[in-house]
Amino acid sequence: MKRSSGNAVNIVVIGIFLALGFGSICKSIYDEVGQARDLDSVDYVRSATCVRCHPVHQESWKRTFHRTMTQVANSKSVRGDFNNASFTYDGVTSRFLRDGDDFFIETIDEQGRMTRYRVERTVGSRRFQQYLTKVGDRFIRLPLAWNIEEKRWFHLNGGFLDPDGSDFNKHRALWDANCIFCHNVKAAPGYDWQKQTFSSKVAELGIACEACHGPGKEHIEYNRNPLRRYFLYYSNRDDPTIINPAKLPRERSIQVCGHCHGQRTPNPLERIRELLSKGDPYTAGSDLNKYTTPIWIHSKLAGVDLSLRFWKDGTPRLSAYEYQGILQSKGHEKSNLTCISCHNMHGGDPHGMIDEQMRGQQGCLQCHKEIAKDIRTHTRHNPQGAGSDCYSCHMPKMTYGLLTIHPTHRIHSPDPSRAWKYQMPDACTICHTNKTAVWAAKNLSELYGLQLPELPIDEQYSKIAETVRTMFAGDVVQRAVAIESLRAEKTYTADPFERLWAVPLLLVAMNDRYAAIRHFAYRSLKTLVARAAQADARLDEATSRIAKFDPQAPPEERQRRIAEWRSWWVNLDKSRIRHPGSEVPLDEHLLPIEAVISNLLAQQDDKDISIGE
Amino acid sequence: MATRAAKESAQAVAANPATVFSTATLHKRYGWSALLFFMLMGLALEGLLGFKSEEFLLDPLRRELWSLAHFHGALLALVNLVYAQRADDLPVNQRRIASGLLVTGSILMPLGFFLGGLSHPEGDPGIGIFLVPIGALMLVYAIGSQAIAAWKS
Repeated sequence: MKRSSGNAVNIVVIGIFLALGFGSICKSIYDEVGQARDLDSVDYVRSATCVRCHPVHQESWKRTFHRTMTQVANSKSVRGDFNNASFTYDGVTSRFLRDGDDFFIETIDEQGRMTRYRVERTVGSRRFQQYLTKVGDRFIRLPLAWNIEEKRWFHLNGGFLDPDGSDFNKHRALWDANCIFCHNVKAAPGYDWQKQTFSSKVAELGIACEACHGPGKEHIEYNRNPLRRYFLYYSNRDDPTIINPAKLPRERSIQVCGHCHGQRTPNPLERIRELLSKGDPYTAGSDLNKYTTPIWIHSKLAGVDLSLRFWKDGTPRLSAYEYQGILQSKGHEKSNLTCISCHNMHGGDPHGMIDEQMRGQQGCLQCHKEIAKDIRTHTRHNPQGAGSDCYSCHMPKMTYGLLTIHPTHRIHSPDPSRAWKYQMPDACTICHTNKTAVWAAKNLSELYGLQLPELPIDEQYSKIAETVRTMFAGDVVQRAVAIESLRAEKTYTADPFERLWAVPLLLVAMNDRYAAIRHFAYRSLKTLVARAAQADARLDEATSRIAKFDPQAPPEERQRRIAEWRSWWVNLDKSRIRHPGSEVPLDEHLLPIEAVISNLLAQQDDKDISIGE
Repeated sequence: MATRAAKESAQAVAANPATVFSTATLHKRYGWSALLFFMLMGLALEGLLGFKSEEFLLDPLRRELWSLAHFHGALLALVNLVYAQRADDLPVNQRRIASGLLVTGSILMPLGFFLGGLSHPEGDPGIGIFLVPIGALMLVYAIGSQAIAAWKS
């Protein structure tokens, strides 16, 4: 009995010591977790280390195009056709060859000599795949790329907005001083200003965990302690050894994405020397403005007209300026709006990185709940129609990037007068493609009881449908936006035949002096015909005989294709296609009224756009 | 040659015959019941696999932990059945502790694995996993006592 009570005392004493020890460990964890960290000097560990504890996040990240942004070239990463394929552009026939796991591109160098380049790395895996070769100490982006979606080779002069006749090697670019910063984790070009050599290093190729979450070395070391991990998980406290963009203050959270999705210049400009030699000083979670300044319409950079990257009201019109867009959005600073309010790096379809429910109205209605109660009162359109889609009116597609027109990230309200004030597209006429800007302005003011803006003197704004006017008379980005709007999924009519009126105008646009515009025009034409063919298979039967139009083919070949399409259109039974109205310059046979089109083409602003991507 | 513990044990049994009987019976009852339970759990896990339960298939950590719960529970049930045969190797007072710890440890360990897999943070078991090392220490004590007694006998 005595011995038994002695055991009990021993157990109690041991228990007290264990409890005290446990309490002391918990206290030290509590104190340590409360201390803010400066992660700038912490080492990077690569995503392969993160997977040990974050298999689910690793798996969701692996699906993304972020992961495959930059890869070592091998049979798994290379998407292009390297089986002795060839592609001719501007009189140069380039060849794409393969020898086992080695890939080669034969094309001309800067001196015009045919040269065989070994492909070392790939860039991109969603729309385009570009190829890097190594010349001496540096990686060079070659000017030929693979269009993944269309499975064809093309020259980058036709992927970016360059007119015909641009230099073949215009987009032959130095990777170590440009692409490296945003397409990888923690880039350090290692440029030696005296020897003028690069010794580029990145923490990881592609956009991996630490690009958004900061360096992981300290995080791993601290979290070897299971008590710390459980404390953080069950107390829901922030781990100061790692960055979670969802828990950052709003401005810092946006900056994590803005680091790459918001073109910037070093701040001050002289910092470029430090960036090129020591590397990118930005670490996720820190203040981006400490190192760089976003590019705005009035920004200055020697040799580059940065204003061309913006609509004249200051809205970005090229992709990779989404950060600027959100900063320009009305009332953004008073809201909790961040990139991850709508986007999700670890969920949903990797195309656009948006959860399924956010692709609909939910993205907006999560904050604007009062609108959801009575959508018609807000939109003055059918609540189920395209006119009640938040994105159509407040984030219309008017931003150019990689042969695609993206939604603007400057969230704003429609105002058709922007057409004559700033020569820029507007939501109303992007959707009502057969209506004029003045019609849209009058309707908007009537529907919402707004004061009618001062109308333009130029009669074209009230006589010619804005989309048609800009697809011929606009500058290159206006033309791209207008042509793309003609095939948009969400538009004023659901009848695919009614939209075929655009075909003869697109055939005119397929003569544009920019290959990118010809590409847009052909793609819109194909889309419109394919949609109508779903209701009438004869359309598909007739057009499938026409060979594919290559926007970068020699002019005579392109003309042949356009003539074939025109002949098909002239002979088509158009009884199901309604004339779109007097604002669209088409005659009773739905053929372009040459005089009007020629007049519009004569007004075309052909100022070259330099793309900074 | 009888050990001191066995002699003490024999004396204790003479004084109170229910002591050994109750210890052996306790482990027998626990052992067979647990063996049945964890066999049924094994069937349930096979059912989750067979019917392609997403909650089970898509969570490798849960699969691992619940398999460990099944395996440890069944194995410890067998250990209890063996222990029931050798309950009198220890002196009565040590036996009470060892027996209690063996049964408690045999419950805590699979329970910890099961709860650890039921709901858990990414990359770590749920907090119930802390029952596992506690149960393991209990089992170490119980089995250790028995091992020492075996060397002394």
